[in-house]
Amino acid sequence: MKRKVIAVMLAALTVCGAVTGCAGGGTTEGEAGTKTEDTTMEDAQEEKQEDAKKEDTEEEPYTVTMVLTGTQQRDEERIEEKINAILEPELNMKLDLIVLPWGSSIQQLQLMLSGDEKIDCFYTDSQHALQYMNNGQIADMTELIDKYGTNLKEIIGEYGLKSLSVGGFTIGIPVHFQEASVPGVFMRKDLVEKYNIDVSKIKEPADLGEVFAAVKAGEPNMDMLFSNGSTNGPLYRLGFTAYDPLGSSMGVLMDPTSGDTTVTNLYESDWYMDTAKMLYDWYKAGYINKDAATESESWSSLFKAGQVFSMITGDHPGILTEFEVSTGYEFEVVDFTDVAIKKSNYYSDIIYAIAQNSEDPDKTMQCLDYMYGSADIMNLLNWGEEGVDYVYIDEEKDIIDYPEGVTLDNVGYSFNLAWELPNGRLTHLWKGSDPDVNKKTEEMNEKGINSTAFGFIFDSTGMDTQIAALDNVYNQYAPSIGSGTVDPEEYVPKFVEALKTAGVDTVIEEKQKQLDAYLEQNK
Amino acid sequence: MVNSRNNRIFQVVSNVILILVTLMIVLPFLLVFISSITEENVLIANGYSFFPEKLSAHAYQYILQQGGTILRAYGITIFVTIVGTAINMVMSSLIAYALSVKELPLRRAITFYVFFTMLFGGGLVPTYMMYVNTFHIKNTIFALIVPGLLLSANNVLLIRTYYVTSIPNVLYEAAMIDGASHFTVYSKVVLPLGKPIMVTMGLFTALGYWNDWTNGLYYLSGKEGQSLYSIQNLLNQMITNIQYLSSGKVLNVGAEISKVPAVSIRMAIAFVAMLPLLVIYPFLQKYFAEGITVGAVKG
Repeated sequence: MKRKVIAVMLAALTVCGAVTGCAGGGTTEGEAGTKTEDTTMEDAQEEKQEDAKKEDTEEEPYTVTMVLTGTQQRDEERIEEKINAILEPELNMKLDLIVLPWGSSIQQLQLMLSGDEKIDCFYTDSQHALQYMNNGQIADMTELIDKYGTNLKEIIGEYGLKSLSVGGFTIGIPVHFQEASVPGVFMRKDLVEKYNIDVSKIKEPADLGEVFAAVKAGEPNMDMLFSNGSTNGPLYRLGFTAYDPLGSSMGVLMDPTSGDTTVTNLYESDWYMDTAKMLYDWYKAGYINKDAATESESWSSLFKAGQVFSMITGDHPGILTEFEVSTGYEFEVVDFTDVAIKKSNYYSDIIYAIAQNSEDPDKTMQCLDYMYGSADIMNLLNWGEEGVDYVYIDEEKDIIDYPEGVTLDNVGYSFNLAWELPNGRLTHLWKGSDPDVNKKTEEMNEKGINSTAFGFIFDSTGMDTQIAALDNVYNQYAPSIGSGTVDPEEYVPKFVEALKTAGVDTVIEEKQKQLDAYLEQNK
Repeated sequence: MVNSRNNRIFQVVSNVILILVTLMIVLPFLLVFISSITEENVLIANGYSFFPEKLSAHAYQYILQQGGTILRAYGITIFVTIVGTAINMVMSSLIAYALSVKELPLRRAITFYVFFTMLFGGGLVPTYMMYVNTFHIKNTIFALIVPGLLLSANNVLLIRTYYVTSIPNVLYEAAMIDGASHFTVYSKVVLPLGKPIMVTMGLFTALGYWNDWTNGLYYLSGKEGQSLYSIQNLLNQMITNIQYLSSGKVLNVGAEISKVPAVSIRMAIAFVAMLPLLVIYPFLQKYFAEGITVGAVKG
């Protein structure tokens, strides 16, 4: 026994010795070879530069590291140079872009924020920003906005900026690309014409049953309605105006413009049951793909393959072009309502936050604010360089296209994610877009009615266990119910029961408390 | 007669079972290959099938034409696998030999120290911070070689056990009596006789390197990092991207989706990625059998 104890203690000693030994050796001797030497040399240079800075009155340009999500562009350096040519004389700053891939950006960003890597600002959403706030990984932007947010105040407005303040801590700034949308159905135009379908007769989702029956009779091998278990599925999309998810859709505001402020369980509502039943009827009639619950192919490739007749989605100006470009078919669109509802997440869906790691939050904020007002930088970020990555085909209407010989496959830079950039409204329009899309979007946004909980952000701090358990339950039931592949009469009660066991009522109670406090404050 | 009849039944039954098991292994590979040469639209409309309606070599054409990134990633995978496996084998067998020598001071403690790493890890975030902040391997080729795979306690202990139990002690003693130093014993006796275990462990390690994508996911980011992606990183990125984009978590991604290669191309890349290992495996097979049957001391 004694020997064992000694052995363990010795082992512990060796562990300590080895760990400290390794760590020391790694940095000083450069075990990682030339690269380490490079970085230490760079460090040394930076130190020198910093020393020089103190002596010199001329300041070194500050490099703002901005993290985006998307597809890595081949000629990123070229565009960074162009952007720096604007930023350096104006603000004495430089921009360093880091583009993370879609699938892993959340994990990679989390790691970058955990370490002490150089990262200044990044694109995120309010739910993640809240986590980062609770982990102390992002900076409070309240004062920074006051000090430097001149363009911001003009473009987003005080109200939008204030709506991202959670208990006095501003977690981020909203991008300028809000799109209020209404649920609508997109049907392939060629088939609508072929089967003589009178689209004016479609008033509500249930009317689609007859349309599907008519088309299905002639096209027995096609799926009538795109459906899958994700938030692209029809049930979720039909919910656009039916409820306000208040963040996580565990506890929602049904009929969000009625003024009723009671947070209820969406999955117990009549709306959920009725919609699920309608989908299940369609499923039984063969309108929905048999494997819809587990379908992982994107809607655009299914349309492209000629497999699907229609899809329910959020309609807003500009989306039709997007549909037609990415599928190669023309579409007939019928909206189920005219007026959009601006929900609690209207401003908080896509935001920019400043990392706690930022060496100079003041300068980062200045840079961000400048970008909100700079059409040149927005266009460089989104479309690349004029004449190389795109050319004007109608300068007056601001419409662009690829230069001759350039295609999607060989273009050096075409980020094409305007909604993710600080001010996507300033970007040029691609060929085929409606030249008035921005104006129409503004109109639609203005016409939209605010949800009672507009601007509310739910802070789920301290409820991690419940949230995780609820997520599991959700993933078990919601995909099959939401895609219409199981009988709701049987499964919805089971779903609700499992949610209750997982603690949905405590979350709803907490949400109600926070919502009441928020409404009290913003009377 | 009874014996031979029993024997025949045994032969038939065992052959049937083995054929079934082989089919279970071969068919998925075959399906991946057939999917990769199926016309894209047929694939989406009818799903995966062994007998597609229409064949197309488009996916392989795409890889050859667009091959810059893919070939590069392929090269990086090969480089990392060879270099990583070589270093891993040298280090593992050196430690294993030292641990197999009975007169090594503190042998038990050192063995426990090696073993301890199998029980406890540092966790993702501390590990990440150590590699990035202290060792500066982020966005370098070392990111794919060093973390997690360079030395595995499991390998070390298996090799040590082999050296202790499968190589007769008398051989070490004989070499020592002839005046061999430890290093000579290691290089002239242990390495040649330990070939089967080295090949086995080497194959495991090589497979580990070949199939690894987590290190690339954690330690490579941005343009600099993505230029170092291995083939598995590339594949993983494509698949997670398409899952994310089609999950509807973000809207307005029509243009992004069209940048992700189609199903048949993903299948073709997967097939290309596993091809080399399929080819190499049979050549290494003989060592697995040898490990059991061949010994240096007869009688």
